[in-house]
Amino acid sequence: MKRRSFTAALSLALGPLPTLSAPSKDEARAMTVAVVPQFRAEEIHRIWAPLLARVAQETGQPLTLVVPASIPAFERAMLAGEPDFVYANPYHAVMGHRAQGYIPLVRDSTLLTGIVVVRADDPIRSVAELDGKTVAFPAPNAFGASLWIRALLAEREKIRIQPAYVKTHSNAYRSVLAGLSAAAGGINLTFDQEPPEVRKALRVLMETPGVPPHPLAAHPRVSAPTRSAITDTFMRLMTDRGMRELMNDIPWVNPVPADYARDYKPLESFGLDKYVVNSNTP
Amino acid sequence: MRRLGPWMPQRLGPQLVMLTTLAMLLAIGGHAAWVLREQSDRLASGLKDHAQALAQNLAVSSAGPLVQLELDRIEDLLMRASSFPDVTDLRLVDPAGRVLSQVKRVPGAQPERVFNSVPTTSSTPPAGEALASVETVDGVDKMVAWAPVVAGTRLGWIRAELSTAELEAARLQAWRTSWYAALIAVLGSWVLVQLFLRRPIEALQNAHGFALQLDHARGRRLEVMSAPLEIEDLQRALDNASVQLEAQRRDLEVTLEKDLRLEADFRVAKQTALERSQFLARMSHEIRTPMNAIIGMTYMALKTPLDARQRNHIDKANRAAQNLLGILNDVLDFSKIEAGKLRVEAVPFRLDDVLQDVVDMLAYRASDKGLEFLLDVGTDVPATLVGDPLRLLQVLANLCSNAIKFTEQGSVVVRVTQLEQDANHITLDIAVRDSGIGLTQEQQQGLFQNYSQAEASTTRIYGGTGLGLAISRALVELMGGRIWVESQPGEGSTFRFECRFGVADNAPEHHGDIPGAIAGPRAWRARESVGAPALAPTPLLEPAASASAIEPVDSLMLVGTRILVVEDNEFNQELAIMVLEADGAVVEIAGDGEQALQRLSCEPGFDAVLMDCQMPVMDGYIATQHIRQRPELAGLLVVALTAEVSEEEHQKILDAGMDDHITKPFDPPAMVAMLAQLINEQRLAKA
Repeated sequence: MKRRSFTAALSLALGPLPTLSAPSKDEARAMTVAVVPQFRAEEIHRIWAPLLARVAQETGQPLTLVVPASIPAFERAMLAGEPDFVYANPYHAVMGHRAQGYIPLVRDSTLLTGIVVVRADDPIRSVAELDGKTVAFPAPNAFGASLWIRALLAEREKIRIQPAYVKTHSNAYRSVLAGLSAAAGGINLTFDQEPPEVRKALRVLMETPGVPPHPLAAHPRVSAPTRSAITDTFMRLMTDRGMRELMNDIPWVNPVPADYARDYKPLESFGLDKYVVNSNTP
Repeated sequence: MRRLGPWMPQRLGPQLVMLTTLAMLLAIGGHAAWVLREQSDRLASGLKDHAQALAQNLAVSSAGPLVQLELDRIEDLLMRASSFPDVTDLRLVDPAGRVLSQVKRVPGAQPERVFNSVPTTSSTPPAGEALASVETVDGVDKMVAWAPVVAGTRLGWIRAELSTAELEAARLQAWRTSWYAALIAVLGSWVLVQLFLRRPIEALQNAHGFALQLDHARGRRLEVMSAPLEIEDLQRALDNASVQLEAQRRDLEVTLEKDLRLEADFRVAKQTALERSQFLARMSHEIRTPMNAIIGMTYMALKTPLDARQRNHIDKANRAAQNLLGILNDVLDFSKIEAGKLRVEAVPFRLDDVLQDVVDMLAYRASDKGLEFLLDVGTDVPATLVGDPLRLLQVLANLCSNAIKFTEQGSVVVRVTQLEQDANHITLDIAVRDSGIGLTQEQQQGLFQNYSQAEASTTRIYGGTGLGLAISRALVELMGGRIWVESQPGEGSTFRFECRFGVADNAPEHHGDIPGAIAGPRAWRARESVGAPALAPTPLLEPAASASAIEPVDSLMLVGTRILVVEDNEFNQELAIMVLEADGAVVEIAGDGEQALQRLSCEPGFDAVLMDCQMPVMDGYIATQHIRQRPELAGLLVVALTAEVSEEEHQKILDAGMDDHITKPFDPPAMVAMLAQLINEQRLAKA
């Protein structure tokens, strides 16, 4: 599965690459939209492909979906400024803004909240008790479920934990349930998507302060009218029933225009870079 | 089959139903058990295979995710696999027994993830082996399969738990099917029994009930119900038995009634016979007493001087009385024969004495008719025999009397020859041959029958009761012999009889030579028989003269004797006085036994007592017993006077202690002679 998604991402990425080497000549050229591979590639395709096709149709701007093989690959591409648009987590938004000036365009209005869960029957009562214990996270740099939490645990709670990266939120939760980890980092959104028996078996020990969730950001080279057209189109598509359902899966339930200064700039002060596990090294 | 067991009903119908039901149940039960076992084995092994395959598949597909600890993917696998049939629980267990992922499914509901990492018994893998077996989980049987998850090393175990409910359901279904089959079989057998065996069983029960009260059926018929052959036959047999039983019962009743009637008749007859014989005895006594007087009185009268005419009349009266006595004796004998009361005794006696008596009795009649009366006794005939001399005499006298009666001229010969002899017995042939008119063949027929004479006219011509031969035949037969006649008309007749006697060890006391005390007074002249020279020792007697035969000698035999006559009848008292006094005796009279005893105690010196047996106040027997108890009267001669002549009477006389007896009506000379002899002997003994 992993292999397949990688292949798919590759083929999609290869297409626009020649054009990337010669950017901003023609607005009609297909722009790339890289989506952070937080989910399985096929899932991402299922949601984004029809959505982008629609947006392209509405705006007249061809869009190509790019799903990098891994999050680091995505980060590398983003830091390199390759995709015209990125869909990434808030920290990526900060990273992209800092490196290439990516401008967040649309985000959901519901704030992203990281959570730390333990087994419901675990006697643990405070986060401090997790000191020295293994905590499962989906990935090192997953923002809400990992980075944001680890930063908070270290900076605010002053504890050291032993992180274990188990690829997905579900796996992180199950790691706790299987007794492999004392706690797991996740986000309320994914937690809420878990089946009831999973949620019942877990207890939320800690919630992070809310952060504006994943934005769609545009590279500064994308013209402002295109940016605004894209933003408007996404917003307008909420009225389309089919599209809205797809956007709910992003998840954008109630998409609102994003503003970097307001939404993401505060994150810069948390020194999140310290907690990024640098996998950039080739 | 009394009963097979306490559980077995007694009646045939229920027994059949029960037995067929049992047989059906056994068969179906056995079949069901076999099928059930087969089926459940097959199902169990199918389920096992299924569980193993599932566990194996899951183990293989979860190896990769497990390496990466991708529990969500494993869970996904388990969730999807849980939709397979019968799956109730799937889990992945790490080598320490920790459940990494678990999905449960209640049949008919959505699968459910279960998170319980604490090791439990059911999450502990078996000793390192892939395995599938039925285990009891939470009280329910489950098929549990374990398969190792291997990727280089053993990473954990897949445990697949499958419901055996389907198995159980199949078993239950099989059970239910068996029960239905059993139920159908039982109902079927019941219906079959009802349809086909109900009638026969009813018939059998009916027959059974009928048989039980066959005793009281009284010919009631059994309605034959249609049933199998044997039962129908049984019913017919019972019906038949009932009818026959009734018939037999009726017969029996009739027979019983007849028997009862016969018995009553017999009782009446017996009573009648008894009364008759009592009557006869009484009559005998009543007749003999006056007869005694007549004979005695005429006898005495004949002793007085009479003219010829008077003598003739009285003599005829005397003879008529004698004849009458003979007839009376015949009638009495015959009635005794008929009553079966006649007995013969077996005592030693001299044949010559008997023959002499015959001669004594009849010689004068033969000589009256001018007949020769001859005796011819074989030399080998023993002098002494054992038998009944009186009866022999009676037969001989009868035959000779007849011969004399029916012979007008010639002779009457009595011939005695010995037929055979062994150590103890001798058979004599005694023939009485006459030269009389003879008998035709027809006349001979029934000659010895009761009341018969050769012709009815014979009785008219010759007189007689016609009982003589019948009595003779009865007596001969009683003495173990037979009697017959050989005759041709005009050529005389021979009446013969064979008779069996005992042989005496020693001769009895010889009382009576012919010239002895009794026969002494009679002068008989013997001469050699011309016709029978070979019979030398046999005296051939011929009466010298009839007149002199009755004429007593002048010597008085009882002179000097005192005799007490005990007699209640006045005629007889008088007669006895006359007879005895005529011979010189002093005679005293006593009216009964008591008077006699008084006289005897007051007046001793009696030589003899003539004791009548039947008397009022005290009879002769008792009186004699008293006499015999008195020592002062020891040796007193007591002679009975009795009308009875039976042995019974004779014995009674001896038992009472009497010395001898004289039969009434008595022959005066004989009585006198006997008394004289007894007194002489007594005196000699005393001297």
